[in-house]
Order: sequence, then C-alpha cells, then structure tokens
Amino acid sequence: MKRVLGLALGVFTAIGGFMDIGDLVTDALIGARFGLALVWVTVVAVIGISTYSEMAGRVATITGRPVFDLVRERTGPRIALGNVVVSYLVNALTLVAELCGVALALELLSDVHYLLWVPAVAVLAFVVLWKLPYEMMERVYGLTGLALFVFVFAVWQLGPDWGQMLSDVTRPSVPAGEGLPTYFFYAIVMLGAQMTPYEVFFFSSGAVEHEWDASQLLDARVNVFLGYPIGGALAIGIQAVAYLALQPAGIQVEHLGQTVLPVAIAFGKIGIALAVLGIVAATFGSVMETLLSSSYTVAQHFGWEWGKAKKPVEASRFTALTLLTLVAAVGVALTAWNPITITIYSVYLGAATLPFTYVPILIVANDRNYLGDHVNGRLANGLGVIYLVVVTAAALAALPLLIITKGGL
Amino acid sequence: MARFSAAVVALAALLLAGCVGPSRTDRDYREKAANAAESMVSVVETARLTVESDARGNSTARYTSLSLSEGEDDASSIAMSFEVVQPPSRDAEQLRTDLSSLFSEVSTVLGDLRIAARAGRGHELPSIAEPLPELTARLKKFMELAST
Repeated sequence: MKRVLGLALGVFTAIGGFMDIGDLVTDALIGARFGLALVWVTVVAVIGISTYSEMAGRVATITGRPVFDLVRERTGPRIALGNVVVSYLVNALTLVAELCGVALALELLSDVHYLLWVPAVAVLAFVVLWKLPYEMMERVYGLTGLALFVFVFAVWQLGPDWGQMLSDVTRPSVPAGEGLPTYFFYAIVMLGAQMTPYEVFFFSSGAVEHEWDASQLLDARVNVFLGYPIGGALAIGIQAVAYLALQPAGIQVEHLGQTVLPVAIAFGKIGIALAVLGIVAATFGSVMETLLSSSYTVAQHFGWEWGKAKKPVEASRFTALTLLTLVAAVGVALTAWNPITITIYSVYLGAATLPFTYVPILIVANDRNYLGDHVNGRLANGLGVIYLVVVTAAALAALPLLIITKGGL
Repeated sequence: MARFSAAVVALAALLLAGCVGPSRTDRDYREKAANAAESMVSVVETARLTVESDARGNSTARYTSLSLSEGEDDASSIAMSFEVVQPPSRDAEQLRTDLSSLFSEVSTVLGDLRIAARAGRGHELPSIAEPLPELTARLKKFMELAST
C-alpha cells in the first residue's frame, strides 16, 4: 500500500510538474486562435518528452550520475561546453518567464502590481530551496498544481459539441484567416512549451538527488509514462476551454487573466480561485525546477559539488551560481519587458535548441560502458531517432518561420 | 563566428518581429488596419465577457478590475501602434480617421468600465458595457478590409 501511495504521489508530482507558464500561455493562446487544430502537437510532445525523460531517468538511476556529467565525459569538454551554455541560457530565460508567471497569478488576486511580486517570489523561492526537503518541495507544488484540473472540468461545464470537438482534433485544419506558416510556427512554439529541456535535466538530476538506484527504475518509468500523459491531457483541457469560450468571441490571449476567463465563465469565483492556486503552484514549481536546472547543468559539466540536499558550504559554487542566476532573472523580469512575450520567446528558443538536449542523452543511453544491459532497446532507439529528426526539423524551421510570420502575427 | 552571426540574426529577428513597419501601398495599409481592428475586437470581447461574468456573480472584484484595466491599456497600445503608421494615400488617410475615431469610442467605454470597477461600482458595469457588442460589429467591418 505504501509502495502504491509512493508511486501515486510521484505521478501526481509529475502531472503538476508538467505544467508551467509556457504551457499555460501557449495552450490558451493556441486554443483561442487555432481551436483544437494543434492538439496533435501535444500528443507528439508528450510521447517525445516521455521517451527522453525515461532515457535520462534510466541513465541517472543505473549510473547514479546525472546526464551532463556523462555528456562531458562521453562527448568531450568542447562540445559539451557549447551544450551547457545553450542549456543554461534557455533555462535562465525560462526562469524569468516562470517568475513573472507566479507574480502575474498573484496579481490576479491582489491589488499589487506583478513587478512588486517578482522580488518577493524570488526570496520565497530561495528560502524554500534551502529550507524544504527535496521530496516535500516537489510534492507540495506538484499536488497543489493539480488544482489546474479545474480547466478540464470546465470543458464539461461549458457544454461542448463533443462530435465537433472530436472532428476538430482528428481532422485538424488551418483556421480561416491563418496562414500555413503561422500554423507551423505555433506548432513549434507548442512543441517547445511541452518538451521543455529543463524537465529532462530536472528529472535526471532529481533521480540522483533522490538517490534512486536500479531498484527504483519502475518509479521513474511510472512517473514519466503516467504523469506526463495526464499532464498532456491537462494541457489539452486548457486548449479546449479556450476554444470553447474565447475563440467564438475572437479573443487573442495576451494576458494570464484571459487564460483564466473560461474557468470564471464555467465555475465563477471558485473556478478563478482554483485556477489561480493551480497556476501559482505550477509556476512556482517551475521556478524551482528551472533555477535548479540552470545550476545543475553548469555544476555537473565542471564537476563541482552540487545538489539541493547539500549544505551551501559543501556546494559553494553551485549555491553561488543558483543565487546569481536568481538575482539576474529578477533583474531581467524587472525591466518590465512584457512577461507574456518573454514566455513565448523562451518556449520558442527552447524549441530551437531542443536537439542540444536530446542528442547527448541518446548517445549516453546507448553506451554499454555506462548502462550495461539497460541500454536503449529497439523501441527507445526508434522513438529516440524519430524525435531527433522531429526536433531538429523544428529547430531548423523555427527561425525562418519566425521571420516569415513576423513573430506569429 | 558563424554561430555568433546566426545568434545575432536570431536576436535581431526576435526584436524586430513585434515592430510595426511602414506601409507603402493601400493594400498593406488596409491589412494593418484590419489587424489592428482584429486585435481591438479581442480587447472589446474580453471586456464584454468579463462584465457578463461579473454581473452573474462569477468574478471577483479584483479579477474584473484588473482585466478591464489591462484591456484599456491594450486598446491604447493598439490605437497608438496603428496611428503612427504613415498612410500612403488620401483614401488611407480617410481609413485612418474612421478607424481612429472608432478606437477612441472603444477607449472611452473601456475607461469608463475601468473607473467604475476600481471605484467598486460593479452594478454599473452592465449598463456601461452596453455599447460593446455594437463596437465589435463595427470593428469586424474593418477586419474585412484585408480581403478587399
């Protein structure tokens, strides 16, 4: 019973952890603009992130070492350094977006401007980071993030035409007034939002922080193969409510408040409260994950002592980098650059750099010197290669599409 | 070096993507007008749905107030971005005058809504919002300009 409960908690954590500000904004934006015509991207993204997270988790549980540590050893310091720099920058920009996301959600409940919330959220993040045990930290925001299921329940409450919805999902078409390049630009943005690189770094490093070994491979797999698909269903729920409530009115999502509007229509004040609670939990969790992932990648590459579980004095460079990254992110957030724009660009850059994350994982997961009999099987390799082609094509198409569509206009 | 150049191009594209360029032809100007009208419809409809939710007791005072305030800011930004574009002909100048006048009407209603919401006069919102459906209908006529 205890084992089942542990597995269930892990899955709930993965579901809450799947959602972040990038997901929340792009799901609502795309649902309002393209209806359900891009649901297939969520399905593609969930299979992809599950495939690569399982590989990264397996590498960490079998070797006891996180991915970037092995990447450096396997590919050499020069190639690995380029990978680390790109990953760090994308993680850090995502951190800015997540900080703004928490602040914007709090603004929905208070009379305080979101910019004033940003430093407060950062201070809270730092305190939680060093005071709360790793597992509890994950579970608090993972479980609270389940409040986001109010979006899924709102689909029923809004009384949709299920037949029409099924048809829109299974026979996707570009809506009238939208061009094919814009459609594919947003497909790439959604891919970036849902295959966020930091999730893989965090999952892999988390397995080491949890001190998982080969006997806990099942835990890792259950988390990934149940948690992420259910998280994907949540993402589709957000797209669906935006399609039902916002698209008929011609609303283009540019504020977090517009993401919440369908839930307000469906459930009123309690809906707003649950949605905001879920958004705060999910984005605060993502603040932790992106912040830690930024420092994990650098510390693991350079061979520093690292880990949230370690005392700051034992991992001084890791701690200093974490603090500096947080301060820099607050500085960028306080420039008052439109936080939704930051979010869209962070997921866009995430998409454009996905191959940097996935190539090394695929290489290491095929190395018998590290994994012995636990190397990738045919299915993992088949899916891994297919997804490598997909994310590379998306990365190559991202810049031309950005220019052609003038940033998705 | 090649990678650095690519990064600079990418960054420049990112920065330029959101900027409004000049219009050299009537067709291009009509497209800009239609896009601005489409964005304004989004603002007006968000305000309409927010007020409807509030009137049914489905929204908190803070949510309504913030949503209307953001809408007013957006309306002002959309109007300003459109009005700074140089019209390429007399016809385009007339289009600018007509659409700017409509944007001004929208801003007035949104401003009144924001003031009432912030002052805690939520009961006044439905009557202030009455012109919104008609404003949406008029804006949609400008959206059709892109295909003419």
